[in-house]
Amino acid sequence: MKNISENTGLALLEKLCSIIAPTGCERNVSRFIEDLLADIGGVTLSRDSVGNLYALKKGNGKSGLRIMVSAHMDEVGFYISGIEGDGLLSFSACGGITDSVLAGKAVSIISNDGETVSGVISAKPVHLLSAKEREAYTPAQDLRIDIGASSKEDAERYVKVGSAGSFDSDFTYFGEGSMICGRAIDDRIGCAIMCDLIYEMKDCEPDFDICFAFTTREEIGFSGALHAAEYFRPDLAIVLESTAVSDLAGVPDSSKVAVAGNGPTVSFMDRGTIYRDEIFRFVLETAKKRCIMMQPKKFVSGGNDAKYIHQANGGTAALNISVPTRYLHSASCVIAKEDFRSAEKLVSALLDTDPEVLSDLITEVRK
Amino acid sequence: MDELKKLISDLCGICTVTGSETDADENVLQIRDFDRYEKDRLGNRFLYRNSKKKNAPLMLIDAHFDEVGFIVTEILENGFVRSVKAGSPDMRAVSASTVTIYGKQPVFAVATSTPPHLRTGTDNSVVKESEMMFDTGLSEARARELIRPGDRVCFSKKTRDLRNGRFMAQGLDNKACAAIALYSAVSVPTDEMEYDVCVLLSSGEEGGCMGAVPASKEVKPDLSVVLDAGFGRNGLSDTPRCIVMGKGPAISYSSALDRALTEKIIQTASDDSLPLQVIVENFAPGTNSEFIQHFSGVPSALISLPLFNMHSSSEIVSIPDAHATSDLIMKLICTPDLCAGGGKQ
Repeated sequence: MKNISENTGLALLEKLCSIIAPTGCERNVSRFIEDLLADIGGVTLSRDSVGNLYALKKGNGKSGLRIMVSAHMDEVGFYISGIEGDGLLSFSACGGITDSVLAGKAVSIISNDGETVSGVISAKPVHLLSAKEREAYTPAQDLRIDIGASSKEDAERYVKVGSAGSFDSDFTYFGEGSMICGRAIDDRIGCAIMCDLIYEMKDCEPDFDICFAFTTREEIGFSGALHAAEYFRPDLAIVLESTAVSDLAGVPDSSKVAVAGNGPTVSFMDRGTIYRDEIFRFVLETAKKRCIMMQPKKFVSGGNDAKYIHQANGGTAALNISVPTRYLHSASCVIAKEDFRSAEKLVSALLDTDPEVLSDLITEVRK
Repeated sequence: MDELKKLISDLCGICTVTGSETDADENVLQIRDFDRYEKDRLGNRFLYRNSKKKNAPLMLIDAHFDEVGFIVTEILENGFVRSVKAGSPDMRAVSASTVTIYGKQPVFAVATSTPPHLRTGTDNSVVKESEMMFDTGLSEARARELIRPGDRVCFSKKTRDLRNGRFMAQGLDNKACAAIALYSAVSVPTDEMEYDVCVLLSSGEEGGCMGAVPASKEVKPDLSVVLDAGFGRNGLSDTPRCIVMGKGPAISYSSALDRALTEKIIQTASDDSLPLQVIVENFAPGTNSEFIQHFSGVPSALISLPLFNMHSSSEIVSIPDAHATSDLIMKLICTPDLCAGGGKQ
């Protein structure tokens, strides 16, 4: 690699978060990662028909186990659904975005020439709203993206119906350097962790075959992961994610989900998967043994690629490691910097498990 | 970057939440280019430029310099901060926006929001002032060291260039007009000036037009031209008060303003083929203009710059419109007899 410090860790996360890739437009991310991993070496790269990118790390043959580590490349965003006479663009949200985080946000649209064009999600001015209209967030169908076009014809020089984009916001360290605010942390953070792990392992042979799967279409229903699981047929799948937390002032502990800064979460259940108790405990014990900060996710919410992975191939052992993220699916996702490092350590520790221990665990799960 | 756009951008980079305009960096205001600079205890700033004419009438060019924002009321656990509105920020645009809290040092923070994963029910109500918080990422103890109740909060000062010279920033209402006033006043050759000019960067407009009246009573001008942001017209806002972006500024007919001055400005623009849209405002337009006219007795006209997304974190103006407005203001400074009284004797 030409410059390691710029292509690992938080610097890599920042680069990945700068790429506009709403669901269905993951190619810019996969191209970036392909180039990066080709440079690192030590893995065999391939892509499938739904856009998933695979980096296969062959094991030393001591164990026949196959482990898949996955993270999705797509992010929530917008599809342009109409171009109006005055040059404003109507849009449909892609993935779960609430009306409350739309108005007034800067966006970036992938333009007809493959570059990006800046825009703003615009609303009727607050002064011209009725008293009733002021009480509720303006729904997405009544908002428009303004790229500055003066007419329909002018707008069509830059975008078309079907063009896609997402929030345009900066990657910012704050809280005296302890926190990060940025766009698309869900789930470029998982992608960054996988790239870092591949770099760490570049000169060694693991005890198992490991497939790092960079998946597509998570935000609209996890379909990329389904194909990845059927492609690699893993014995164990580790799904890396960011998970929504609500550790705000005044929120009771029971509703916080998890606390940013207390390490990554491991889930026993979410809205897509009930994880096997043996695996949940295995993660907790591994973290404890290796003195890695982590926390169980204390609320049943959200869902992730594990939903289809754990159902694939007649049932696949799966676990989910997530970085606690405030204000998920907005222009300003917030994470604690240390949680990123702890998540990397935890996944690295899991991949460093004695193959016999892991084999016993998988046998237990399959009983 | 052209000079006017740079000045607009620089002014937007200053935090002047209504009631705290005194924090503005005077270097940005280009006071060196004026003959006299004063400020008062209300936060108003006066920048004078003298003509070469003896007993020239005095033209007041008012542009309010304050902006909407928030004022810190409370530091909470885990470094969260509660605030109240200063002026009327568009609360629909607050959640998940980034802000700067101007404490002992500028503190970056994020306005809290609830993601769909954690929402219950279908309530789509706009966040209440009392429920909104800013996340500083600091410990409570450190937040208390850096921030105290009364500190001002602005939306983050980011800018973006859009198509056709349109420019996105926070605080363009009314920093764009303040920049136009400053730029125009110093750009006219002295020997062409028909008026002595006072650019008033007035305070407290967003809090209820509190600065312009005492300021104009102090200045005692012969006429005033008030520059303010107006509602841009598009498919989202299409009332008779709205003005088309890209077609220059607009002047308002209003029963609260001076009709003769308004018509002379329209005639001047027409004579010089300068673009000027004409709109009709019922009663008072809701700007400093009617306050200066009504309470200070100064003949006043209102010229508006089209702006989208007023009071949100991402206001938009057209830089060509800003230049067209500046061209008109410069022309007015050089046009005799705009005011019926003919000026000071």
